[in-house]
Amino acid sequence: MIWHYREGGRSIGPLTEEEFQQLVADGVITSETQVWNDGAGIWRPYGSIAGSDAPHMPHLQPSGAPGAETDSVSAPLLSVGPARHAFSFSGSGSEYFRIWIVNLLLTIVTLGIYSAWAKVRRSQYFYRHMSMGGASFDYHGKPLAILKGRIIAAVLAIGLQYSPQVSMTAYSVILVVVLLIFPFLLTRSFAFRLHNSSWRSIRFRFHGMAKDAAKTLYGYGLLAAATFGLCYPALYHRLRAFGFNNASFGKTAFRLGIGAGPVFGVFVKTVFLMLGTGLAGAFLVVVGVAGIAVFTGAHTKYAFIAPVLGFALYFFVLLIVYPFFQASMTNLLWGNLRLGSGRFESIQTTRGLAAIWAKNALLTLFTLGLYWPWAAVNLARYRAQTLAFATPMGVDHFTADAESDMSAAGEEVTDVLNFDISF
Amino acid sequence: MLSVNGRGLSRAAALADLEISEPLDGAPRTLRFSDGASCELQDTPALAAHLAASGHAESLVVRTQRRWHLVAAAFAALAIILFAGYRWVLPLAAEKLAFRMPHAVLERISSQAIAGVEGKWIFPSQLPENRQEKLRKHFASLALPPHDGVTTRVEFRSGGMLGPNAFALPDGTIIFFDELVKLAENDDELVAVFAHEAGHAAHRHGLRQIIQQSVVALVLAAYIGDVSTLGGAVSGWLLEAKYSRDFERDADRYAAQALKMNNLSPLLLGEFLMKLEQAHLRQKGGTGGNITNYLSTHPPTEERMKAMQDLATQ
Repeated sequence: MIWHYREGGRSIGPLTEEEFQQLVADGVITSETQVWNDGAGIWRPYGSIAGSDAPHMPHLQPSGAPGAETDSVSAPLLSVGPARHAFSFSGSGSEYFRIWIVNLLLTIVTLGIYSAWAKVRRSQYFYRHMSMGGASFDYHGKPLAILKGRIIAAVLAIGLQYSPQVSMTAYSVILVVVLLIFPFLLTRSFAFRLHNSSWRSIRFRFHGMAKDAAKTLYGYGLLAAATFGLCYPALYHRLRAFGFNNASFGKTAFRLGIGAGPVFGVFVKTVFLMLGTGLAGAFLVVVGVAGIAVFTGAHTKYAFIAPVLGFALYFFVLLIVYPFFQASMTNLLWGNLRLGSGRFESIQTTRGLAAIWAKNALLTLFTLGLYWPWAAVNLARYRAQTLAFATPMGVDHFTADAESDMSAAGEEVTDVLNFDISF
Repeated sequence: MLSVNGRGLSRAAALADLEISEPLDGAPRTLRFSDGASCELQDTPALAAHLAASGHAESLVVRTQRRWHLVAAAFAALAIILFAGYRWVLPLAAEKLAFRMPHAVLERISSQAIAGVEGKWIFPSQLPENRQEKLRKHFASLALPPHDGVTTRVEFRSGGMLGPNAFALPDGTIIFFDELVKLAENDDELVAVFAHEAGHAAHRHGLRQIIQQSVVALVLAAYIGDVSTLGGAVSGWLLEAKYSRDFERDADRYAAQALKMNNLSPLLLGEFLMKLEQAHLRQKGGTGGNITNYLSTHPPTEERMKAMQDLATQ
């Protein structure tokens, strides 16, 4: 039996049976190590075949198995039965770093033109390493389409940025134009992303119309503005409902099964949490500053401590409140999302997400940004580990819808103008 | 030749007719047939061996991504390009571009800038009209180092909360605040300030700063924007401050030259800068401290004073 195993993104082998068993005995190969032997069609964790005849079809593995790579977060165990499929992410930071650095160099050298190809590669990396039910996702966006979109986006962005310095009327005109076409851009953005995503070769689809997006955005947007932001959760909910309820996987439609009420609930809880941690933290800062003032005799040289502590407080509150909001909202939305007769389950936690963000932020700052590939992978892995799809009917029954090409203009424009429309 | 066999399915195609997705370190690969059908395969050594044996070549980018020493080389190249670009290439390109800008554009930018703050931050001057005229005539009579045909027009305004200040606009207009005029003991000190601002105008520093700032922000957005917009904003600010300090030093040199051409000492500017700093500190209160100098858009005043002393003795 010839063996290969994967480590650090490389495939190592061929090894004879004796060499392989020696590595197992030495602990180099663990139950989580991806191995391949001739006769198998796929890579599998060693733990899935040890001591038994290896079957050809992939097992459904719990992605949070004990002994899995120890992050600072221990992912909760998603129980896997015949009808529940956990998501899993197989990418690694060091693999992605290599891709990222080379593509960054090419992007800078080509003054940004290569960024479209880099984006396709990045999307494919994250899509293809994400799998559910034994099959991975795929991204089909074409670089040229993305490049066209980016050029349009750049022109609009430059216009918005510099026209105030040349002519306020020009700026107002551009601003009005952008606001008017924004619902169209939003719709196209969703459509482009979904149409170019697939699972087991079945493409996702988006059926939303720009006029519905406009009604939602402007209608609920005005409501939120008129109530000084109190009705913002309604806008938030309606936008996501617009996105999810118009999406489908092949011929099967997605359905978001909740109203605005629970969304309001999450916002209210978040505000209370923010006030609570903010007050507690501010109290600590005041005590700290007073203590320092007493200790140093109120020398003005140390006066800069106060804003520094203020900043620290801000980040501390952010690090608690934002993960709480994200985890709660993700669990709420995805936990109530149905696809045909199946539904999703999301079990993110504030602590889990906060741990990831804190680690990502600190290390990225420390390395002047070089840690970013690992940070992105950490986040993707956590999201996968906390997501599952439960279906009584199995995953083989989905059928594709008719194909059609989508242009990228929508997605790229909204990306550059910095609107986040991802779920 | 690839043949796919399964339940109720049998297809074959030459590898050359297939679109083979690039390897992504273990992610499944897709083989796309010409009619749109696709086959998802695990990226196993057998597949890799097959592809290699059939002459399928991975792209240069993919090969570079795979080898750590090439990645290290790419990283080094990136670091060098970014450093050289920041230090030399961008300032040079911005200079060339700034001097090619038509004057009409410069005027537009300048009038927009003033219109933006007039009535909100700056107000009409309280100085007597004949004082303003006298100063204008005095400035116009000065000999100046080469200034590329940029004619300097002098305007006076009241700076209110902005305190004693003077600045140059891209089209050559120099604005003096009443507060600064009153701070001066004699007109020669004002000549020193005028010479410094004229340096900014002559070398189109305002425009170059805008261009350089924009490019820095753009590159940072490409690099760090993924990570954190706050980090990008802060680092952009730090990087741009360095450019600003370079321009200030350049304007100081121009001023020293101009002062000497009119038989005045460069020390005039250094002393007046000290006076200015004191006035600003009095306005803000406190002793300032060393930290703010790092973040400052101007070199530390002691450094500028020293530079003036050196230029005076040359």
